[in-house]
Amino acid sequence: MSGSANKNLKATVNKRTRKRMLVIFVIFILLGVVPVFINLFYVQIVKHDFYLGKATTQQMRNATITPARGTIYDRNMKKLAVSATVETVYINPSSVESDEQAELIADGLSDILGVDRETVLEKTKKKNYYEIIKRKVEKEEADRVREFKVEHKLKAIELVEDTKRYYPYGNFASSVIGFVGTDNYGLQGVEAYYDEELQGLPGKITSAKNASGTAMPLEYEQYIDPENGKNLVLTIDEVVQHYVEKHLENAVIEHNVQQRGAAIVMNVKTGEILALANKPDYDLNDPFALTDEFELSIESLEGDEYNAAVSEYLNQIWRNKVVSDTYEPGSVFKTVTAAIGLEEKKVSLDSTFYCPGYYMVGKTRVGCWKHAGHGSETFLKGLENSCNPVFMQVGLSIGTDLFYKYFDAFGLREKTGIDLPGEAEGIPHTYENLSNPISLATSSFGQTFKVTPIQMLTAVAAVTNGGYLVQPHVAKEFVDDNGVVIQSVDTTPKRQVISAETSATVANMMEQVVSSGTGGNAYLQGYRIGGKTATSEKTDQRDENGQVTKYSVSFVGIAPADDPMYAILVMLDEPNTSVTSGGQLVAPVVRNIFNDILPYLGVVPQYTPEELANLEISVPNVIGSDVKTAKTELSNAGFTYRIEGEGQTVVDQVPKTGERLSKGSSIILYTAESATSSLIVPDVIGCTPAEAKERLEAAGFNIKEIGTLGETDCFAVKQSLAHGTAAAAGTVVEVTFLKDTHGAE
Amino acid sequence: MAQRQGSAAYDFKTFEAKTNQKARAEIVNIAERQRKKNLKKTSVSILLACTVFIAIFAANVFGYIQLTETTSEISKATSQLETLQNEYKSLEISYASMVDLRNVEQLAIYNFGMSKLDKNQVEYIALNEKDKVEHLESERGGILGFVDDILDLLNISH
Repeated sequence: MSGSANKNLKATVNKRTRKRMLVIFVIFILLGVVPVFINLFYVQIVKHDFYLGKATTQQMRNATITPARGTIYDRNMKKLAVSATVETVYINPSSVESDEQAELIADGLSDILGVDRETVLEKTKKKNYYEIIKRKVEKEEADRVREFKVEHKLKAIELVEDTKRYYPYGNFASSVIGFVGTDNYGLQGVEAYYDEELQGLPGKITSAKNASGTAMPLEYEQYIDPENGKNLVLTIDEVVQHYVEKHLENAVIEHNVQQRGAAIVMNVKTGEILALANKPDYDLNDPFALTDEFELSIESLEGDEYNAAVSEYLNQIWRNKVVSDTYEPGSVFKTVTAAIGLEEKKVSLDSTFYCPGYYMVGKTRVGCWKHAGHGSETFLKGLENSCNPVFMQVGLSIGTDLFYKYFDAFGLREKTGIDLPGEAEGIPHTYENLSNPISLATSSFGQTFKVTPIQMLTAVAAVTNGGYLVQPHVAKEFVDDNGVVIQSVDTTPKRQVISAETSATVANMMEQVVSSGTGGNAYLQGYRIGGKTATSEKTDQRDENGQVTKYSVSFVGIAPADDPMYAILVMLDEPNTSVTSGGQLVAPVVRNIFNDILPYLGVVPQYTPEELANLEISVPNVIGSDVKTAKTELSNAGFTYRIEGEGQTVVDQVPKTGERLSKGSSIILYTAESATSSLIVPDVIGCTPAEAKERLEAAGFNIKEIGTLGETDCFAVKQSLAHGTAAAAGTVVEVTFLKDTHGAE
Repeated sequence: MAQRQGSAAYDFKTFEAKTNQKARAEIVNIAERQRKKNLKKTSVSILLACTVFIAIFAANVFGYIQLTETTSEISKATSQLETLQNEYKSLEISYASMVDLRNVEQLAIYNFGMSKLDKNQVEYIALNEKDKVEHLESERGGILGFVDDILDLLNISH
């Protein structure tokens, strides 16, 4: 065979071999790949839904998004209650690997979080997956827990997001704001009343996470926005509330009040509550805290007894006395009786009465607070004097039908509907009871029935605001996070009870009570203040001899009296003092509150010529001036002076610059570096203002009067420097005067 | 081997067979070359197709990686934002509790020796006239100014 034939043969053989190899190769590929493709087809197409479901279950996370609780603001948009994110620390006991690890966890967490070590250790031994160690942990503590966890590789410790409510001002407006529980539901105050609006609606997020918890994009991802809680704007004014709380707290401490004090400031035209306070109260950031004093008192108690005592204490301290406690209003109610009598023309301002110190209702003798009697007086004078016989006669002339009808009309037989939880109804007389002349007579001066302080103030507001019964409320409006108003509160009055004319007359009568009646201690220079005092017996609490020994004292004030805008009611329940009189104990509190809030609220003072003449002015600084210049400056300011020493330059002065004194006060000018002359302070307690001024000036001192203005029927009850104290000549001695309003009224 | 028959020198048939063989060989060569060419073309196409397929697949995978990374970054940034917002709230609360009116009053009176405003330091001013607003307009020159003048004359506001 030739070479080319061999070549052909070889080529043919190679080709055949390659073909066979290719075929075998393809068969092997097919044997390997086809089953894979069949399986893939089966998994991805045939069993698509099944495996998608499994993957979704494994990867998808459904999480509830907690909505942010609404913020609470005062009327000037100051934040009073805010929510912020915190964390809850918990452990997974099933992940605790050993006893040593449990000890380490207990040591670490008790040190960082301040919790009891043994409690933590006990929790590590439980047979579950979730044991809370501490809720609402702040960021710093949470970060330390995280560091501790990472450092010691402790899988058992976990942190989860939580929210906490903060009250930046502590116990400020605690009765109004209230607080939330551990689960962020409102328990007291507006936090409870408006809980639904403040809560909002939770959202939901459905997302996929990989094994390490990182978010993955997912076609089924769904995000439903949470609806954050509405933000609540209160009618409370931070500044007014501050002054009310300050003066109420001082009064409760000074007069050793046993059953707490309460105060309300209301805009009589709209029913807006500008301030509402009860003292003592509690810190909203720690509502379960006990005072040291109380803890000491229950030291010896244990178990159920201890728990019961603590529970009672907390319920008392949380209780909003203004809306939940009833009391006999006493003589403040005479303003209502006066309004009814004038409206129904049963009496006029000039109607005359006689008070011998009592009034006979049938065969029953009902006394006046002034046992000696007021003698002959007009109806106006009767209110000024707070005379019980006058009002008993007016009440009896009004009669049961009308009295009952007006009692209803003034809202005293129903709740006011104020937007705070726990409002109580009063305990009024039934029609049958009121048909008894004794009940009618005593009701006319505010005894033998009970109302809440908010009911009483709302009634007084109706008496003085033109006759309209307003709706008291603490919520002004709801706003969203951008400040847009979502919802406002309606301030339409409920009804008109008396005419505008009668209302103006009674307001004027109340002004007379302050300027020349038992309310003199509420007098304030430059402002027309009206008011009514009350000293009410707690007739349902008598001693073993049947005598009433407990009282509540109160005062209601209105300003400005010619067109009332604001009304204040302050009540002290069971003051423990030798003197029990609303005029002496409470009227000065209302005066102090008005003194602070009226300028802030824009009520312009209008001084009478007499007031202007006695207006206090600051002592100018004349130290370093020559004597002649100093004399001129002091004379121009309205002061007198006395020169000590022979020098030509003033080296010292008493009183110092900035001290406020009335015109005519004496300033001592020292012209030599000699020691200031030291004098002994005289006793002026019990003196009238004129007597006290004479005594102090004769002794070389200056007087600063606090209280009534030069009245003759008031007396000094307090002096800033005690009798016998040595002080420099010219020193100012502050003397507090009170009108004599002693007795039940 | 072909047998010589007759005058073999002029037997063109011998030459014809050789020519046919040569032609057939040439045809086979051409076919072979064509086949090789086609094979090359096919290989290149397959390679290109595979490359494109791999490129698409890689791009898809890369896209998913990017998406996952970006999602993770968004998640981190959101978490950071929430932390900072929370910190801001905490600081706001701390600040508010420090400027509580009670604290301010205590500091003012006892630390700085300040006293409240004197009543006679306040002067109240009665404003009897109504509020007035004076609106100044800049003068415009040229044609626009001329138009303004005409409008003014006709008392039409502009």
